[in-house]
Amino acid sequence: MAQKRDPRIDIIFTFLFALIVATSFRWSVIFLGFLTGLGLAFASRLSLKKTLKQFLLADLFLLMVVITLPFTTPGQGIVRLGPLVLTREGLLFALFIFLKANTILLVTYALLGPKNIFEIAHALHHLKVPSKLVQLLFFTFRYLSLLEKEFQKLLEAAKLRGFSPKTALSSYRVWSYLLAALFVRSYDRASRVYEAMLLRGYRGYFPVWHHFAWQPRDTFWSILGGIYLIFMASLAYL
Amino acid sequence: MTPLVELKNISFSYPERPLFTKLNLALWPGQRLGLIGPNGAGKTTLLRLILGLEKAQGGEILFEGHLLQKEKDFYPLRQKIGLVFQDPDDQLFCPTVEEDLAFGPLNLGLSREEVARRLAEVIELLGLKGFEKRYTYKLSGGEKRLVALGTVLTMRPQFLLLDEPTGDLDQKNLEKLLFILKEHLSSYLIISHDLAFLEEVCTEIFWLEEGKLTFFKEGKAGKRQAFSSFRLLN
Repeated sequence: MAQKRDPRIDIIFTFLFALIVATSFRWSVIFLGFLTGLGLAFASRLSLKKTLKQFLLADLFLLMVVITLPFTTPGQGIVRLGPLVLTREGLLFALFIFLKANTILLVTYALLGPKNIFEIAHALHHLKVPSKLVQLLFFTFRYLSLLEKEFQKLLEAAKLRGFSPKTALSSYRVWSYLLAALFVRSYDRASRVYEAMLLRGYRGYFPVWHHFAWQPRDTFWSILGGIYLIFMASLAYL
Repeated sequence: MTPLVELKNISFSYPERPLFTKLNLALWPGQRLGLIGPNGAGKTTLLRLILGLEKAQGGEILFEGHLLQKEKDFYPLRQKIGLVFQDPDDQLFCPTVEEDLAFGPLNLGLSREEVARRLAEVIELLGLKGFEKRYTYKLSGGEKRLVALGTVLTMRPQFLLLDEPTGDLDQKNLEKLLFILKEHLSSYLIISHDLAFLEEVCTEIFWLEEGKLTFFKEGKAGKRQAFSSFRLLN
């Protein structure tokens, strides 16, 4: 616990880094940023298998977005597919966007991934992010795991009574029952939690008890991060 | 003298079944009440009516002599009457034990020093030393129940409503609960199916069935006069 960095530094760094990389149109920035991401991922000791799996999922969405770029960007044609012309500029542009997104994702994942949602929510509170937004984020995250647990419980109960998921109409019916039970239960649970909050004087503001204490090494990390960001910004814009 | 809370001629029914017609109940400081009755008799609903989580279809609810009608009218009542839910998972939502215990008092607008004092007090009372930074969702069932009780105690309620507080408590934690109820609290109403438990901690036990609240039997606990239900013995 003792060597932990103040999570606010990571959040601000990630935000500014993403801002620079997202608005820059230079390959050097993306390249350097990507290397930084790899370095940070290595330093946070992320599991390679798990990370790749998660990136594959995110990249699938990303691919759907960039897939049209090679065909819609004007430029020198390389391949002709019927009425569509794949251009060199388009291909490079798509690759550029793809790498850019992955760079930001990698740094976010390396810096914020290992933190738990509570730390992040606290830090956002302290950074004066609107309370409603923080609560939205916090409860979404908090109750996603609760929903998952609830669903696992329902599914296990069904399996213990001989349910084996198949691609058959009878199976689909059971799935729909499980889903319906999940929705009803989560709704009930959510309203009970809300009532419990009301009874303890909740009026829309989320008070934070635990405050972060700024350590000397936090100053070190902020200066280091600041120098890096200034360097990246000058590379990107000058 | 006016009672803390008074329910007068309360009528309430769910769409599928009627529950209460003309139910009367008064809660006084210093009362240690037990409530027992068959499943579905409306024990939990009665607590929800007191706190304004359910709105009665007829009758009146008074808090310190004032008639409560709108949602806002119930705010002062909820600061002085605490409810410990049947399922502690409904009650705990903050990341750490400490945060959850502090949520109520911080909402009451107390100073940080006062909140710290109350946290220390309740942690000591519940024997939760070392649990401050633990994640609430990773606690065992019994520990969750104690912390859920703690989240209400830090608000220093004048009257405590407990819904089945003995569920999934082991012998050690049950004794802890008995000790807290007997030695540190003076005013509460407890719902339980465990008659022996109720007899131990209550002065009077009531039976709720078919919308009727009737005196069932006396308990063994001594009656105490006190104005705050939360008292620490030094």
